[in-house]
Amino acid sequence: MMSEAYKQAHTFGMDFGTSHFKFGPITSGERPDVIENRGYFTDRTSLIQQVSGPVENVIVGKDIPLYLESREDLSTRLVYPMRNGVIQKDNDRSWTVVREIARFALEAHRPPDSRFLGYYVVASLSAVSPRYMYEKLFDTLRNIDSEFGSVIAATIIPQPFSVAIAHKTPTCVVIESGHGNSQICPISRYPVRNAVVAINRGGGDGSALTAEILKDCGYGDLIHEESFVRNVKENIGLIPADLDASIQLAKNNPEKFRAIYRVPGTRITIDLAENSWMRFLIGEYIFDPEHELFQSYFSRGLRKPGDVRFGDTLFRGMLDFGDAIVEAVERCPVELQSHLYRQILLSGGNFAWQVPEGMEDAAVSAPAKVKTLLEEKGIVDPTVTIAQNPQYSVWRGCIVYGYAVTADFSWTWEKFEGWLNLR
Amino acid sequence: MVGEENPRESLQAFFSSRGSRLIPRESIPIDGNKPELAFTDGLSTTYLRILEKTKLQGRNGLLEAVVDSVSYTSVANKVYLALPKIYAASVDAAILRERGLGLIVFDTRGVEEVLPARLFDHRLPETRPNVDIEQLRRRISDLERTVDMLNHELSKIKFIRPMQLDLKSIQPGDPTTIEPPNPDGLPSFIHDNPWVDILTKRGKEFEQVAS
Repeated sequence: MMSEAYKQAHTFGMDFGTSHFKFGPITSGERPDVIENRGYFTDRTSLIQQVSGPVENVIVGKDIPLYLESREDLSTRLVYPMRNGVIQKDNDRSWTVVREIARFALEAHRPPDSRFLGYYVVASLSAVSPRYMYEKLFDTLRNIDSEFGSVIAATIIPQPFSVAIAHKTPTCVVIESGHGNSQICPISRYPVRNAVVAINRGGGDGSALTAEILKDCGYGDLIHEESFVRNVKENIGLIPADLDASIQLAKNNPEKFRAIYRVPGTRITIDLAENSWMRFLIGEYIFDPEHELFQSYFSRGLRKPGDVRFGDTLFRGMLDFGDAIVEAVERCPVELQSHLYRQILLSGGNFAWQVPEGMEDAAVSAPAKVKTLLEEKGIVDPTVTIAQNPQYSVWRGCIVYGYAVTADFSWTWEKFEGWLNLR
Repeated sequence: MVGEENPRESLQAFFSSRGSRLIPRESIPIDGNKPELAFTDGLSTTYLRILEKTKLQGRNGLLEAVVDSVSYTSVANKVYLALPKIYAASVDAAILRERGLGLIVFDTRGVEEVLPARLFDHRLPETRPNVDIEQLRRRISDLERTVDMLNHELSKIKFIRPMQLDLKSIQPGDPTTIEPPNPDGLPSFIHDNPWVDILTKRGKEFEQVAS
């Protein structure tokens, strides 16, 4: 076994986010390296691939755009393994991408020091990852070590737990909301696993509603590019303090609330004009999709977030964030509940919403919205904060965990904690 | 026209129609793998490397053809790669363009120039004083040495910079003797983090607040 000092100096964090993969050793300082969590399966029969010489079967990292071929191929060749936070056990292509991404990360940071004997890897997965994902990821890292000698031991922790660690908060509720889904996880020195609530709704659903709004406003020809719709959502979407009241305010003052977005570097301008009140629907939908206004969108084809089961976890589609937090907290011991409501931490890109100057009477931030939803359920004076540098929180938590947990604490499947020696 | 069945004839006809004439194979000033066809219009020479279906069966067929074609550019003024049209769809023209190679495709319907070759003017080197080239070569190798040295230094800095964990104190030999990192150099999110104390006790405590 290596010394504590060796382990501390060679702790390596890996955050498998739904869109991006953040990685790096403790020596990276405050920020990890970031690549997209995806892999491109090359066409090995292509002549150009033969001309270019031998290439990997799967390309990961910043080089992917250099290998992209026709647009038609992208849907089958470009694989985002963690899009839903969970990979099916038999999805070999996704697991291949995970292996390549992990190998890429470790080799990118292989120290030149000849005394390097491998890293202590702390990987972070969605809180709702089933046990087989842990087993598969351990196998993947063991496989990499047997070929490259780069991993001495590994551990895997849930992403909300990492966020709590990075924010120096031992008792809290973490709400991690990404592209495809959201997880509510109470933490009290340990993640309270049987209290995790999963929601089958995330930033992608906000984008889907934005596309419907753009269609209604005459911009239907522009909605086929996902990144474009996401940019529109981020630039015109607002969270209403109270949906009905905010819509009324916007309808009474159409110029004040007018939603105009000029797409940088193009001649395209999106102007919702008299329909600018619809910008409040986008924010509301993320936090509470039950309002009757959304029914008309569902009836016209907007995919209603349904309940789905991944592994052993049920992801609820229409549960609002207030109900979800209350449900998660009420699964914890009564004595703990008031402490949890005092420290609610929002994390993930889905909580970065603007409140434009002059619109404070109608639009609110994500923490203010969650606070309102909780107060409506009778929770008195909850404290809701948003994570600083949410993009890096999970990786930072991994580094703290690897630095602090001693090398002699062996992995236990009862607690899902400790180091699994891979040699 | 029967381009795919008899490409040499079709290609010869194609270049003849442009005012070029065939250079006899024995007059091509190349040792080793000569181009299948060579033409001249009196002012410039054009070499052609033809790839038929049979040569494309092996993985290295195309690669060898490209390598040969690139070597021809030191002699010929223009160099083309000619291959059956059905295989051309997969070839990225950008790579050929970068090397100055042209691309000609053929099938049963005829011959088509899809990428014009770059003109290599071989008279230029003769007009330049040799001393300039030698100077340039020396300066390029100096620059290459400097870049290699900087890359080496950069890789060392990348490892050491944020670390600031006083790796200088590591004694050579057994890695288990590595000194603990200097706490002052740790990232801010580790400093004053109550979790460090909590997690250090993991595995040593029996009580658990939550299940």
